[in-house]
Amino acid sequence: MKVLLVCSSGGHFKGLQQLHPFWENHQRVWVTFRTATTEASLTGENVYWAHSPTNRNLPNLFKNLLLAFQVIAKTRPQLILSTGAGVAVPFLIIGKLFGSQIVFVESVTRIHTLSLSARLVLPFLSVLYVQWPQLQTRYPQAELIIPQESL
Amino acid sequence: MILVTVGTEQYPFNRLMSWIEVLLQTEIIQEEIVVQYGNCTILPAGARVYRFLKEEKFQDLINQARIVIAHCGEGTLLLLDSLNKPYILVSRSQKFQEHIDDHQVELALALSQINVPIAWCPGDLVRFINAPKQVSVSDVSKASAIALCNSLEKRFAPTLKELSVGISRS
Repeated sequence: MKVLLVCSSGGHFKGLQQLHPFWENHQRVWVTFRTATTEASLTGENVYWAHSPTNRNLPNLFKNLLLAFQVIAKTRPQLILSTGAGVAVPFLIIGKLFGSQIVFVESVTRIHTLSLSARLVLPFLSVLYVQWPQLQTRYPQAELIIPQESL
Repeated sequence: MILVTVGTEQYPFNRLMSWIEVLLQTEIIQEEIVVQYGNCTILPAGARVYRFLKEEKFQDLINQARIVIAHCGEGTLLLLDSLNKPYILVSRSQKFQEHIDDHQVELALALSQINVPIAWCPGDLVRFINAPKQVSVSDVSKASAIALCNSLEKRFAPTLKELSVGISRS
């Protein structure tokens, strides 16, 4: 399966990296911000660098929109997986238009409210994963991640 | 040595910088302080400061530190939690333009319920510096990652394999 992995740097990147038991079995393309950490971790991976910052920055929104269009038209992923944040929004929406399955994993740091990026892409998602029962109560369509130890 | 870090977030976290400065000025902290200040615009006088640190240098400083004081971001939390080092978290708040919303405050509240040290005021920092404690939350997040991977594999891998077999591309 062809997978597109898109996230910003920092915790979102760490979160997506932690899902390696899933993505390492699939053909994959990464989109994230270029930092010392991401560059070192993604050596040998197929990477497109996104434009940052994305919060309240219109020029970068357009640049990333263009990048999303180019990357998705070229790679045609079957699944787009993101741990947020803002940078993922254009990729998830354009991916949906191209017929990809769209998955958003909400950060463990979200307990009572969804992030702005999750709220923006909510109508386009195949699955929204949340990590706290409080949040799932508010968004019943979301799937709660239940760690195996507690099953 | 005490390491203070506010991550690479685009918003400043000057409140924490002022707290550190006060503790240094009043000599409540007499240890060396190293600060990774990111986008803060106030820097505590008397501290050794770096704007952004490379991961390697950052890890080095964490290893050298007796205690780490950090903002309540997911990346920082996951990193600190993977190391055996006492840390205390201070949440960024929307009210002071320290973040786009209050998710760090929510996280801090939830973490405090599982006994992770959280500082809501300079006094909490002082108590922690005098009696550091170490708590781990990483087992939970590692277990969550495994659960997620299983769910993703179950949900998408089989259907998409069937689909690509079923659709003729020629």
